Amino acid sequence: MSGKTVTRVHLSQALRKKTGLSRKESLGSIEAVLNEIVMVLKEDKSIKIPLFGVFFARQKKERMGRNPKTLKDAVISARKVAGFRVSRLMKDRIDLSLKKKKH
Amino acid sequence: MTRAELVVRLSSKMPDKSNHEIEKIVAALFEEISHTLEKGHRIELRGFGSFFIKKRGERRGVDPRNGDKIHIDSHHVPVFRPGRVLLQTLNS
Repeated sequence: MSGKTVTRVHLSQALRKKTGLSRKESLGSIEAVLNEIVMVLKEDKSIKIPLFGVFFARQKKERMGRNPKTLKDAVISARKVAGFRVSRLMKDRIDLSLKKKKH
Repeated sequence: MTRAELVVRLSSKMPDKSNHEIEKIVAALFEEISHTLEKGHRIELRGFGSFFIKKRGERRGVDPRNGDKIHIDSHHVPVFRPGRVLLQTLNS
């Protein structure tokens, strides 16, 4: 989609406004929250954030694939991947807001 | 795991903050991510992953309840792509 990319720095500014934390504290807490989510996923647990969605980790099996560059068959090893399922409410809100924007 | 349990886990890592303060931080963080996506912007959190909006075109679909053919309007969905560090951590 169009335009701007938001990073930790932007998020931390918004967080400072909402909570009154210092710059350092706010960046540090974003890092702490993200890190903890990674640790929970590593334990194969999912995390449900109300009105936002669910983060989860999933085991994938080994399968055959093809190297698209060389077209050679190759084994894709078993691995874990992380995923996110958006909550119904947030999904509807985003779609509504982006539809309005256009017209 | 719920947001409340996440807050409890975080409290041992952030001893200088009360659970109430951590709860506020976590809520504000996800609120801000939602608002950013509502504006159609992309969020990139290096290492963790990125959130962005994908546009799905209109298509014909089937109502799974009664098998009727229905029209599905084009719409926007948020997508999360896990970052490299996150995937490496899961597989280490």
